[in-house]
Amino acid sequence: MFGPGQGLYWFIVFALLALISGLLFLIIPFFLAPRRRSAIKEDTFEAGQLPPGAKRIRFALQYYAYLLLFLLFDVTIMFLFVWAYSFFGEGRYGFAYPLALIAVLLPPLIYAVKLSKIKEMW
Amino acid sequence: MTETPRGDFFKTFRIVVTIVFLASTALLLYMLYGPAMSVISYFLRDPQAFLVDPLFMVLIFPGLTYAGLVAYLAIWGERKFAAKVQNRVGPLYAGALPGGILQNIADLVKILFKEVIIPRDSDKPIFILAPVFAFIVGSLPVVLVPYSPTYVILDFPVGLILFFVFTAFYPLVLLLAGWSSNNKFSFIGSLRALYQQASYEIPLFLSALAPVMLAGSLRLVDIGSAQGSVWFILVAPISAIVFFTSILAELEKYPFDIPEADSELVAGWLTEYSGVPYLLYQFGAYIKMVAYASLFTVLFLGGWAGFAFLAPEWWMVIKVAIVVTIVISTRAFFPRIRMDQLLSAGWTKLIPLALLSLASLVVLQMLGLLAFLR
Amino acid sequence: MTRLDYLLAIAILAFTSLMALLALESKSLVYGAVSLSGFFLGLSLFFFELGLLYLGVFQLLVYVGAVSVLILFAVMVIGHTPRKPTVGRFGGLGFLGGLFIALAAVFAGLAMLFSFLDLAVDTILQSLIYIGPVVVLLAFAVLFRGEPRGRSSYRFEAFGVLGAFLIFGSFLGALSYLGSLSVFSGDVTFSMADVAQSLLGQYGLLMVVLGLLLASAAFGAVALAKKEKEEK
Repeated sequence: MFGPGQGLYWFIVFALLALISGLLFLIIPFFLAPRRRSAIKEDTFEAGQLPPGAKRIRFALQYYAYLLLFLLFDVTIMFLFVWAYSFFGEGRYGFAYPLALIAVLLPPLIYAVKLSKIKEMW
Repeated sequence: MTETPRGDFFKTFRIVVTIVFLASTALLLYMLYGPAMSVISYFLRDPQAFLVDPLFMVLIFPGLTYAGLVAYLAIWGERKFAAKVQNRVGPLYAGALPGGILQNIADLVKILFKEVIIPRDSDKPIFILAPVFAFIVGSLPVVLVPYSPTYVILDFPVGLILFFVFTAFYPLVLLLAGWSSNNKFSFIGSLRALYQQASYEIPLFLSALAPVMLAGSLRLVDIGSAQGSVWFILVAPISAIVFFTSILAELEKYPFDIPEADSELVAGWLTEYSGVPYLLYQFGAYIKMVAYASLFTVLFLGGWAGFAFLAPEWWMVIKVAIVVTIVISTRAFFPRIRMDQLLSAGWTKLIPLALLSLASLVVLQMLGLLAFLR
Repeated sequence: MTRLDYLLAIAILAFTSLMALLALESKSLVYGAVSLSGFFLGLSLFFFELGLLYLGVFQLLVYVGAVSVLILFAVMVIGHTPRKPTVGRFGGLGFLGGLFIALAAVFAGLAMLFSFLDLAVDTILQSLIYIGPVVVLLAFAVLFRGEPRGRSSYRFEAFGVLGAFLIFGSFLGALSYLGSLSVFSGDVTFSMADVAQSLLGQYGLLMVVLGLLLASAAFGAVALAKKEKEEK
């Protein structure tokens, strides 16, 4: 169908098999399992002392910088994969550009690591 | 008592799911009909050909049956191994076979009979579908990893990157699962799991660059075939170590167990899941482990290269078994490291190590020492 | 181009456009963000269809794997205030989606009919590109003229019309263009070496400059987020 030939057909078959077995697993308890609903079963599960309200979510933002960095490096990886692929090939392109790219991304990395260590700032 | 403000929507949702299920089953049967008929017709005449038929590959080896079997044995093995190390016996009594190997089947049967509890005010469609997506995203990478140049279901020219695509999909599912539980602890747990996964994806990709450099290709079959003379782990050992560590983090195995740990925010992002949804997550995670172990073998342990007295596929199976054993043994050996230690280790230690390994490869190439690979 | 390929192309187009519509019109921001990642997935299917494997996998890896995650993360953490219902339960989706699907079905059916009858599909489709969106606009103007009725307000629909215009027009344009693609006759050679040559040769410096841009963006984002917390 598209691109690289017959293997994709079987990829779709496999994906369908995974989807169907997943849905099957979901549907079977519908027939086999009891359904005795009660208010307490459907409460949110909480254990221990609840920290005060809004702070709970803020506290989880401490490592937000890492997520941004992840995006940056993800884009860089794009470039690096191409470079690695052509490493041995005809006319190697040297490593100046990849090196520059990585060097450019190091300051944000250091900044992010430093900031994430300070809990109060979040 | 429990109001269901979206009751109509839920009924519609169930109908839609049933339709999707029936439609995909129909489509699957339609797609399988032709190949199945031809396989049956020549199976009796020429059994050898059956062994390399794509249908066999998808269903049995290295597809569903094989991956499922290895995952099954891995679950049992992990429990048994951890038990022995902790001076316990682990699974023992289930069924007639020794060693409690049938324990998993017993657990499966039990789980199928468990009531599926959906939290009130949770986002029901996402809550129910997230495990299915986790299962699909976890099991699809199996398609990509070759067990020999002939035993590969999808031989994609950029196969390695496609594998990593499935790695990248997982955080999405994670976020949806934790958020849809309508439980602050679950949500924070999923955020932490997200940080962990995102932080270790980069070292994973960076360390996988080394085999790409050495083999000069992004096709997994090429990378495996390029290790005929020497395994890449000997040429780029640091990359192999970084890759393996990142695998442990991506799979949420010890010592990177924080998102799933029992004493951390209850059970992290999986808190509200019980019964079959939980089963889908866990089984998907173990099949993902099989896929990752196979990938590690292809990238660093020489793939199917081995002495000639065994077929290449068997070498692959043996190596994958060893890798899986090492992965599951971490449960018994490692304590859990703290979240901030975990994240800073990923960013400040693993990434420089991976880059160092790449730099060393560049140096080796400039010194002309890598000529034997060509 | 076999009939199956044609159907596949239509399916991918319909999926992508539908995801885009959902992303715009969902009442819940999280559903919108998830639909957006579905849209990115559809885009990558386009790339695969055109034989651009490298672009396709990186679209998946970066957009669905990183950008969607960030958007979803932001939406979930910040929370959302539900929009005031404008048009029924699904925002504008019900109307636009239904209209889109109906028109797409009509035109796809016509195209299938013409290809069965071996008529000149391309010219017919190309003329439809220009007529189709105009038809949509006119139908909309006719049906929803005048002041808002009852509880519903159709003010958002103006943007919806523009969106439908663009989506549908590109849908038809893509359909007519696909007829001339060689990928469906099966002889597309994907060359990673070409990609390597241009990225590392011509555009190498550009990549580094883009890296600088990204790095400064990251600095800014982190600094902004941090300061907001301090002020609270």
